[in-house]
Amino acid sequence: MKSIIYIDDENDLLELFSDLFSNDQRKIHCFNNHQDAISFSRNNTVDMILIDYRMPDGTADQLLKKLELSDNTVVLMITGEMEVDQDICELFHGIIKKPFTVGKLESYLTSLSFLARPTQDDL
Amino acid sequence: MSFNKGDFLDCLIDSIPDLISFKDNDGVYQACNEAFARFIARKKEDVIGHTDYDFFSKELADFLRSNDAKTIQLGKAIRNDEWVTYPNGLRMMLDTLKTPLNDPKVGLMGVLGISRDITEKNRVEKAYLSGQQKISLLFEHAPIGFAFCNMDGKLLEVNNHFLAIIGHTADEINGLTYWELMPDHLKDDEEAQIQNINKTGPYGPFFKEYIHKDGYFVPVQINCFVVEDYDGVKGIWSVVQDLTEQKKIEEEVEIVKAKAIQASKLATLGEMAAGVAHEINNPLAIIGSACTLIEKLLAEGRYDEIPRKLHMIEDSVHRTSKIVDGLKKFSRSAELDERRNTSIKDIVENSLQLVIANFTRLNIKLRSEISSDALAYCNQLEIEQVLVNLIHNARDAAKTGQEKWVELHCYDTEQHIFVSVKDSGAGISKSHLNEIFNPFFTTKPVGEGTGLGLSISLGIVKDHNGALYYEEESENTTFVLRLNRVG
Repeated sequence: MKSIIYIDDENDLLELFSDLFSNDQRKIHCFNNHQDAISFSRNNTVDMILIDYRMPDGTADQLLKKLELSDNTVVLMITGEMEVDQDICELFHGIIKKPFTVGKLESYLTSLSFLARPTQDDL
Repeated sequence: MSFNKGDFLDCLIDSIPDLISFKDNDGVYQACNEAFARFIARKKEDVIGHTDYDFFSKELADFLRSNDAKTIQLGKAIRNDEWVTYPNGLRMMLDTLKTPLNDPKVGLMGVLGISRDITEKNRVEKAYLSGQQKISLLFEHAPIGFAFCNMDGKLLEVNNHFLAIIGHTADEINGLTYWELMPDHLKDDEEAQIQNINKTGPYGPFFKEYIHKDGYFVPVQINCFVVEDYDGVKGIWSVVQDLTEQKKIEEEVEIVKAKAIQASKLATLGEMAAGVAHEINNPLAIIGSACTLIEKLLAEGRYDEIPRKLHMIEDSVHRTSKIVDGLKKFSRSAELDERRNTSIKDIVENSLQLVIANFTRLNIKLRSEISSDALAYCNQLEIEQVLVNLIHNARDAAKTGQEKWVELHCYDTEQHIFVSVKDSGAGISKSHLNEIFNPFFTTKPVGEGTGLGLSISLGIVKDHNGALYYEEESENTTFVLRLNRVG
């Protein structure tokens, strides 16, 4: 069972995400604040993490520095922003733009081997 | 007491202010009055027995003698105006009548001269003629219209420029009345004004329109002078300025001003775009995900879970349309909106709703205290634009500091409404204080500010008879908007 964390301050989106993508092969953990996600990462193995870029308690890159993740964790940024600095994008394995298509996101989640470094063109 | 006719005549002649003298056929003075003697600075008795050559320059004496000779030759009185320089240097113009004096017994006795000093009269006449000429030149060539009409409005005298303003020829003016030049919608006002004219003197200025011969209206400014002639008949002189060009320029200025306001607004919208995209993309993500999930739930027969997801869609659509509505309202040209009594609370709340997205994104606290719901007579969109601009400036100033906040405070006094916008930024350097309201002045990095926001905001506020100023005494950067309160 793969463990996936999704962190976003949009509670409806967290609920929908969990409903859409939870299945027998993966467990979705949703958090609407940074601190809860940090606590979870300390005590659990995480295979993939999706972080909303801008939240009231900070940006995704700031949270990434505080999370305790293994080298194998796939780190994705999810954002509604029009543009994110390329330097920040470089810290993530993939960038998912809102509004995303469920199909595309499903393909990200299915292929946990996705490791290509993104560029702005991928946004 | 006996009456001496000779003494009486002497006295009479001496009391006449005109210069009177009598020369015999040889040009020798035989008699003169006191005025003559005084003018040549001699006593009467010193005149008699002398000739013109004893008193005047040779040139003048020759001239006087030639006039005498002419009189004698013609045998009748001649009259001429002549400039004469007297021994004391006094130069004057004399109107002189020279008459040959004949005695029935001895024939021609000499020449009687009577001269009147017309120097001043001549000067006044010349000045008058010169003045008349100047007035006439000015009247005909002045780039301003002059028209004189009687109190019934009949045009009696007009100049060329007035004709040009109304498009008529001088011939067409005959019989034309002022009322025929006046558009119907102004006639009532005009009549009321004329009825109020109860004394001579200046009236106006009045801003009116004339009907041009070609049918269109010409905007004019009129200053009137009511005059009364000696018979007590009143008339009105109108000094008429054609405002067509001025109106055109004013309209062009208004268009440029409106375009500048709209351009500034679009620049502000551009600044807001990033935050707006974020605010719209989130609900769109919810809608898209919920739709996919509903399909799944339908397929799996989990119908009882569907209403909640539909509710999410509904909420998201409402949230998005609110943002779009706000933007649509903000981007609409303020020209289309009229001024009306508007609650300052509505204005502040609308402005806050427009900017809140950007503050959330940048983790800047936006606090507001709205303790007034007083009314201001204003163009709501324009005042919202001013506030959004002030809030954006405050946001830009606050985003780099440790503490990041912007505070809005709305309050009122008996006469005014105030909205202060304070930020946690570094403040404005004293050297910039005189420039902050100048167009194109900005301290923001290239590409982040047009430098037009504050100058356009100031223009809008002044247009509302309000004030926009920087509060130097405040600990933090504070701009204050002041509007006049209604009621």
